[in-house]
Amino acid sequence: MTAYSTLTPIFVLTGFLGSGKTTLLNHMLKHPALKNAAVLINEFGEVGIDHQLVETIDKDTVLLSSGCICCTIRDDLKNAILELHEKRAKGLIPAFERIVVETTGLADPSPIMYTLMADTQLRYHYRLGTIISTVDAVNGLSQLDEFDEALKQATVADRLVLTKTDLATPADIDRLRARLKTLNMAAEIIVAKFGALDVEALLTADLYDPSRKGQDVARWLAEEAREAADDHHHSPVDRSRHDAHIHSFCLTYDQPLDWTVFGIWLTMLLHTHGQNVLRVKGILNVAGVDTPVVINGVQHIVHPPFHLAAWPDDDRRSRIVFIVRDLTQARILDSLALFNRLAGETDRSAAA
Amino acid sequence: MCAFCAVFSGIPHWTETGTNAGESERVSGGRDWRLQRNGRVALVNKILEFYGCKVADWMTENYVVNSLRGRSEIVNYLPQIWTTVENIAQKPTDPLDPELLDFLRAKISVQPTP
Repeated sequence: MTAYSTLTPIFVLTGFLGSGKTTLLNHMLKHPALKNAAVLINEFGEVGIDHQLVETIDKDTVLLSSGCICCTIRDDLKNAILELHEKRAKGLIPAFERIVVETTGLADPSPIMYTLMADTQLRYHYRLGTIISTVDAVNGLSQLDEFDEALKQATVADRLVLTKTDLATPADIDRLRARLKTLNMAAEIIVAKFGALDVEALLTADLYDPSRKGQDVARWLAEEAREAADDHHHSPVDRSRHDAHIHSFCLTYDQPLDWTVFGIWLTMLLHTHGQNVLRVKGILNVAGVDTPVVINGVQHIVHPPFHLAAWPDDDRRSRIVFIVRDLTQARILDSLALFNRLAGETDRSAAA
Repeated sequence: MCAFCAVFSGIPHWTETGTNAGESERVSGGRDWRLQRNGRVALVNKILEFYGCKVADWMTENYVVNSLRGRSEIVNYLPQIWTTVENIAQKPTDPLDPELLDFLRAKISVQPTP
């Protein structure tokens, strides 16, 4: 099996209608760091894309037998990627080092992510990179209120790019930031001030990038620590009042986790509640493993876990960020703790 | 595909590849891997007792899910065990189910929380 970090990354650029995806994409593609990128778009919109390697995706979607919308293979996307792959192999197109997929403004990104992470042909050559979502600073709050697609795009993102901030008041931007933090505490929020946007950090550096490995994790942990400190000043109601259904939280475990039990528990949780576990990201202290283990999942799919070279700080606790819909923190916390105790019990039975 | 039994095997599931699967060149085989697989089967069986099912390792390649009424199904990976058990037991395999958690608490001699 090829090391995961050596596979060609596919970045997903999503965001609601009119939130500035194509403008952002054009800006990013001018950056030298992205000169070796291929771009896949659903359709040519009003804003043209100035790039030598742009292909369109048709619309064939295959709903898998599970019937869950997030577990659908987008055959059109898969075929478009395989076509690019073949052309690259034959030398018909420049040897791209990454692919950027721009979704439509009304897309639920889950099937796209599922296709990239689960398709058996793609998995040998490609991996899901960073998920970037643009959020309009003027209309973003109302879109989050009114459209499920906008909520989904914001909650699954690794990076949220606030656009049109020059047209919004600082107070509006602060409210939008607070709402996005409630929905997705693990995502980095970046204000797009074109010309000053760090494109390299936005698109070329992802979780599995060997040169940046661990930096994303350190950021989640810093965010988690900040949220924990904020909790001393705000009532818990503050953090959940904006959205009754979707929220994010961080679970912390003092005791090392049993890896086998964690796999059993998480697959079981995602089997039954995968539609409502929008993201799960964490750094685990696994019993018998010296270095921290990073896990990263989107709904029913989990990226292959990997080790960090060292703990980012003195804190050796397992910390897992969940973004969920209609699930409570206490239920998940108790369940995993109980399953972990089952492992200890099994060890004792085996030793007896 | 196994030449003897015609069972397909694809890319291993993340639960089968250890904690550093993202960077590992070698994902299966070896004593530790087998011990972990045995441990997984033992743990899953503690949970499946609640659903009236059992699972067994089959040639370190697949799992066989058996019901108490004699129904057997071969599956490849852990998530497929939950789907199969759900079909057999006709109830969701939900790790947040309070009844399942009470059952597990009893197994590890922990009093249920009030």
